[in-house]
Amino acid sequence: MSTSQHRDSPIARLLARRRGLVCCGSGGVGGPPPAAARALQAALAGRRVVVITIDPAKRLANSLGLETLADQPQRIDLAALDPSIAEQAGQGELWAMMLDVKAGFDDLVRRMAPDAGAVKRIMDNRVYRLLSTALHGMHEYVATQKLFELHSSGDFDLVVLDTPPTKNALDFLEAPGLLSRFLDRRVIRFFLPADSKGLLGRILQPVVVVQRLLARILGEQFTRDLVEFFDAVQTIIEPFQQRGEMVEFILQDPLTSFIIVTSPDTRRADEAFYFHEKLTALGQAEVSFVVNRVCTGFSQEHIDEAGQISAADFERLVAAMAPITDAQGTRQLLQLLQAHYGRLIDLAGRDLQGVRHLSDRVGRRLLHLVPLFREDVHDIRQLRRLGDHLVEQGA
Amino acid sequence: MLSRLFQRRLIFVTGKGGVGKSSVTAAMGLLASQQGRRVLVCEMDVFSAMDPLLGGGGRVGHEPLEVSPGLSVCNIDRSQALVTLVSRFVPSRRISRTLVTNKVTRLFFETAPGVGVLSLLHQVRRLMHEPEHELILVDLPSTGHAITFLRVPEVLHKMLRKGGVAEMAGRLAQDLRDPEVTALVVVSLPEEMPVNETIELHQVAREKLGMSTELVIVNMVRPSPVSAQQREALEFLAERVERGGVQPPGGVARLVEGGEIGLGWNKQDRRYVERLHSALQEHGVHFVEVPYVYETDREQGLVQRIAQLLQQPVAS
Repeated sequence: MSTSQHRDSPIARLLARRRGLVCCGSGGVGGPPPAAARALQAALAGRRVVVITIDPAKRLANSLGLETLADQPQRIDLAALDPSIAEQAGQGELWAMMLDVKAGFDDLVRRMAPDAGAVKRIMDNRVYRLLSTALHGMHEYVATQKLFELHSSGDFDLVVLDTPPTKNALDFLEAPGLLSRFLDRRVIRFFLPADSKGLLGRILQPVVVVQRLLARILGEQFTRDLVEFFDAVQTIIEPFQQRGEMVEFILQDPLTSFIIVTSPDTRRADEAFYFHEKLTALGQAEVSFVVNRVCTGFSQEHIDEAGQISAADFERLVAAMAPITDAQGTRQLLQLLQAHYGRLIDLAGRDLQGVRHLSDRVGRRLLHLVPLFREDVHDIRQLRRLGDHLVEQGA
Repeated sequence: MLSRLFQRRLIFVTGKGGVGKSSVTAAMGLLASQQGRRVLVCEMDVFSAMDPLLGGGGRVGHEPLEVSPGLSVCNIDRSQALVTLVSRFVPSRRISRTLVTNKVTRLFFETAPGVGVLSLLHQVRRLMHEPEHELILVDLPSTGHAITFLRVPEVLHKMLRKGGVAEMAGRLAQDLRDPEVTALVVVSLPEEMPVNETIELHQVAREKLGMSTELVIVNMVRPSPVSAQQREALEFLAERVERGGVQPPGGVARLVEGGEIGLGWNKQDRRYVERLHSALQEHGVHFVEVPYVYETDREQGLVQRIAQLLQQPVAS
């Protein structure tokens, strides 16, 4: 498929309008990375594209033929990777970055805090230091923030976010919420006595009791750090929450679409479907599925139509073509090939079942199947091949 | 290799989602119990993977359940583990339950960094000290990152410094670092990204946790469809058929094509296995390969089949 065809097709026109693309799901392991493939595809269609990965395992860097990625967008030198790809891209640009979670979060705090003193108070706090490295979901949180930032910077036509494959795709939607819940006003108020008004409020203040209990559990020093932490972060709660609402807006924007990466396995298909329902409930309608590594093209009919071959015929054939003279070896070869083909048929049958399991629920139209390629997809040419494949299917 | 590994008290099994980590963990548990160890497989997930794999009949929950002789399974529940942890430090279980169920404090505990992980690991440590479990296999959550998870005790220990939790976190961190007690097993696949991740995980575990990877299990290595002697003949046939010079009768062309695809898969998988070997062997990491189990070979059940395959010497 040529570039001009890409630009003229209705799918490409739709693609041209898209501003954000989030790839997530559980089928990503080992499979070709659709996020990188789509980003490259859009760059080949002449757009300025940046792809953000939050996977510390360098999946994206690998697929772009790089060892590492910086934590700021860096332009991928397409010409160095493949001159023909660079030529096709024309004005299009492909940028990529790997998110540094700690740096990204620090950066966020710096921007939201009212003054340098507040920044210092927060950063020096030990609870903050733990929070910014150990909180589950921090990756996802900082990633959505980065999505927002690059989205609104105007530097790019399309921002693609590649999330790490998780067993439960929902983590991506839920994990960022964990942080906002931790910074919930109710929790903070609980730790800070200043809020309660009136004598009754002061007497009944649960904070004293709870703090005493917490001190027993977590130690006094830590409880003091904690109170200090909540006091320090008060100043950034509001901007944080506003930011959260804007991120949500982008995630719900019809110009943002989601690709759920899954595999032809009924269990994974169930997870993908559940995720789809959650997204629909959020008001996000632009969802499609990429089913990775589908084994197709093997069926008993292929063999039956052609008619079964007898061992004697096979022997004659092999004798005429291949350098084995040993009849027993030849018979064994036929048996092994037949057994192997049987396994491939089973594999294809199982995958077909897995795909149907999902298509019965979400409709075949939303599914894009990626065949089990003979080789892993991890260089730019194979990435383009995958991209072409997805576009042909309208993903 | 495995029987030596099974002499430990605690084995953490990690690997990204999709590598077959749970199936392999279940198979290891089964094998260890068949070798006479009293095994407990722990998971920490909303849905139990072990239940269908090891035949729990939908009954696998927070408390250990014996599913076959010498093999028990539990799926540690976060909030129950939290109550247990908190009750160590407050006067009564009733108060800790109140603390944990109170809307606001629960929100705090659920979301506070490290607390959830610490209570899970605390529960594992408790189970480890129960005499009925000799070996605990932990199927680590594939969400998030194993290193972050296993670092929590050390980080909390350093941060809290004093107090009950600090001491407990310190003891946990010590257990994790002690190679006599704990082993780290990584399940991987013969594919580009899982291989890179495994090598990286090994490095980070060494640097940040002081833990060395004991064993890498390379799962789903696709075997050659034909024997070494017949390989040449198949390649020769495939080349002839592909060039179109010969129009073999019947489904032979399809059979040969299928065989050739299988050969290609096998070659590719072997390349990745080699890469893992050359990167990790010098660090004393051991390897076990599990061949891909095709649907047709699953009569006796996937877990049983993997357990069998785990014992076979590695073919190269």
